[in-house]
Amino acid sequence: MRSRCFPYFFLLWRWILSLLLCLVLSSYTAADKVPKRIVSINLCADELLLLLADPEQISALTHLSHDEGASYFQTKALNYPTTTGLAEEVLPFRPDLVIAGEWGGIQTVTLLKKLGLRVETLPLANNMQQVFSNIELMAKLTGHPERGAAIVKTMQAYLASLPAAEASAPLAAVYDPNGYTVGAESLRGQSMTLAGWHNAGELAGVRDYGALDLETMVRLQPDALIDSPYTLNTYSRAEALAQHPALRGSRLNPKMISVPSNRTICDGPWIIDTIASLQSERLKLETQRLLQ
Amino acid sequence: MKYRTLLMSLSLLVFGLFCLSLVVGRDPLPIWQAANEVFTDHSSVFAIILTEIRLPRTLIALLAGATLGLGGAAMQGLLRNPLASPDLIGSSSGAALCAVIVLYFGWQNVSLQMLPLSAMLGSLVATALVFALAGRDASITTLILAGVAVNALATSAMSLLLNLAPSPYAMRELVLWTMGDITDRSMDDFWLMLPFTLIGWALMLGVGKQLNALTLGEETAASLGVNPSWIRWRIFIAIAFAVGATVATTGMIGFIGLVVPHLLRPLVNYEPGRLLPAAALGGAAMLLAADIGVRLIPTDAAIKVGVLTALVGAPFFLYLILRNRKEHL
Amino acid sequence: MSLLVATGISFKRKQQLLLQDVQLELKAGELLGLIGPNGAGKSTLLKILAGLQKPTSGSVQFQAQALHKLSTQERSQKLAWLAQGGMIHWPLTVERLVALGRLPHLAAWQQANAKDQAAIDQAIQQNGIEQLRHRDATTLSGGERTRVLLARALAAEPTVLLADEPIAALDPGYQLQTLELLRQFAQGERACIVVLHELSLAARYCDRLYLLKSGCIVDTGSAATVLSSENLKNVYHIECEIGCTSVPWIIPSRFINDQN
Repeated sequence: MRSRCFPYFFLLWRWILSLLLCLVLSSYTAADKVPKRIVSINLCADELLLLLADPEQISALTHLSHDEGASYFQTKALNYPTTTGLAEEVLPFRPDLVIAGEWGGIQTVTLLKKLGLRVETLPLANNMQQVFSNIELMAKLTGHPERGAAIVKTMQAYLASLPAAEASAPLAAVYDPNGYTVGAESLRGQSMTLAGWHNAGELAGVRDYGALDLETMVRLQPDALIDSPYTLNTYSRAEALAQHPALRGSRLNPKMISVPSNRTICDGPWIIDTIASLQSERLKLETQRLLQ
Repeated sequence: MKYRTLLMSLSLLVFGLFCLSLVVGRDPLPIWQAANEVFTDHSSVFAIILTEIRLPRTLIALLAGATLGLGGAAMQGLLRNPLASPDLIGSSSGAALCAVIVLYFGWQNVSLQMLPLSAMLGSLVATALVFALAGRDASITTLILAGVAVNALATSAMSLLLNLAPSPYAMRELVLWTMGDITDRSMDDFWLMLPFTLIGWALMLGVGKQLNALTLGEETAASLGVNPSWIRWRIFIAIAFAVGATVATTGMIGFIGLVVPHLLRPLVNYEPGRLLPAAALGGAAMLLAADIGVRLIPTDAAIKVGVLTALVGAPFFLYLILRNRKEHL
Repeated sequence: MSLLVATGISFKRKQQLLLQDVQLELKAGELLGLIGPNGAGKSTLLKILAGLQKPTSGSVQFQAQALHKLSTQERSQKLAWLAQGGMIHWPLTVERLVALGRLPHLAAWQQANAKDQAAIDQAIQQNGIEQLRHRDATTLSGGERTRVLLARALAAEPTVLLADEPIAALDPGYQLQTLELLRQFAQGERACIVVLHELSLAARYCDRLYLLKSGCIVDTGSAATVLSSENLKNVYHIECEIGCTSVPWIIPSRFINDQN
């Protein structure tokens, strides 16, 4: 029986194979058109997809997009399935576009490309210009360049309306766990400056990202510390640093400004919110100073 | 060297290092101005650096170093063997494990004293466990093996717990607990560890004569009115108090308890009782020196003080093993 | 006056009866010899008499007071115990080692005073180890070591000295010297029990002997009665030439193999 059936099976397999090949090829040719099944394996790509793509274009996001602390569009993201970014999880969605981040998952990206999928990379943004170009890139990839252009235009208009920082502006420092802070060549550093603060990290010689020891921080005498706690009320020595008595000393006692972590982990138009809230915190502080 | 002279010079050394530790930092501190401002303008930056950053760090180094030196001397006297120390027989890792449980899982909110108390309990349980594993009349080899097992268990449990801890930064702090670190502690930490440490010291310093008597073996010591099992428990409890409170604040700083008593023993004519205060001073001096050392090494990220003591201590331990082997040939 | 009286002492360890209904009395001024083959229970008996071990049944009285009711300090002041062999774990100097004997007389944080120092000096002098005073105690010869440890026991100025084989591994000169010292010690209010294997020396120096076998006292009394050829045959399985000048002397001549 079996020997008689064999050729049929063989023929069937050949047929299935050629069908699959056709499918892959057709998705390839359609690549330059509007993608219909986009899978993101990077949190920041998730956010920009949720911002720019039509809902039906998105096939899957990363598991982090469902995390309140990490994802800006968390409620929106709940509508989509997630992966942890492994190739074997991505393939079943038969994506016509995979978007990866610049860092991490290099093996996955290579493997996906080898399997013939179209993989695009979203670079990290270290300044405003790169934020704009990322938005424009994602808008182009999803086939809606006009949406990207509109958003960038609005953002630019807002930034242009911001007054230049005054010489008398108060001093603030980003103070992440373990004393990590940012300098001018970072987006968080730039948003501080745009919001009218002087950046203590810059004064301490930090270029993009670096640690400040407690003594240096005390010497800088910042008026405010900006943190962005990913988890609330958890303990680690790293997180406890901002509460050290040396910083809470009578004259120093810098104001704590918390920016939600889902606005600082990835970059996008919401950076406007961050700048706005940093600006209003600065105004509050300056008003308090005047009243004293 | 006369005993008194030895203690005096060690005290002077500790005092000198104490002052140096207040002065030395990444950036120079105008020490006179700072000291002056402590009394005149308490909120000045220099005064804050001196009293809120460098002073607690120095005081904690002093307490922790003395505890480790003293604990090592007491343990070596008790076991009559120069290879023993609280970190080798599990006291430190037990304390660290319980400190991690309390700190990272929010138990500290129950009461501030939870931290040193639980570390003490952990230290006592781990020490007793090592002794139970090794048996009452264990050789030092068996004891060290039991210590290795309990240390491995405690460290892996610690690693697991830090992985499970709610804070995303917890896991990175495993190094801090296993190597020991005294940067950026506050006076609150110092006040918290002080009473327990002092109780531990008093319990240990009071057994000098009994440790001397143990030189003649447990039975002869018993005929001299010493109760060996009582002494053993007293030292365990004393180490639990002092080492527990220390480890809860600084993590496991290794090798001071091993190296310092060994270096000082010939200077006190090998008398275990006289070694106790000398080793306490020596331990304080060594940790203060190591802590000054890590501040002077120009690296981007600060080196943990335990890394330095282990770098010095581990080869010394190897040397001790080699010499021990030669003696038995 | 009886210094130490043991009545009905039995001692059991791991189901094994090491001592069985032992009666013993030590009078002031006496040097008492405890003899018997290896494993007879001499050392165990001595530890029980020193209060280091609790008998399974029976009691020990010191100066008409139950030994276990004495405070640890009082007991260690009055009874000195000299271990068999005697180990020294750290290389202390001889003087500091002898000074350890003063421990029972010192309160918790008290330092040795002139009276203690006098007792230490006397013990060093008596044992003829003046020239060793600053030597490392772990590098001493067997004879020197024994005398240093004896000096340690005597420095406590005890009423009763319990010495476990103090002359084992000593040459005849040191053997005599040590026993002379014990003899000298056991005078007036003081007394000494010594475990010995050298039967002739036991006969020469001890006032009375207790002969132990398998945890039981076989015989007790003067050397002449205890060291009878019958007793020696029974206890040690040896035939001896026994002579008598002023005290008996014993030369073992043949081992009797029971199985044949």
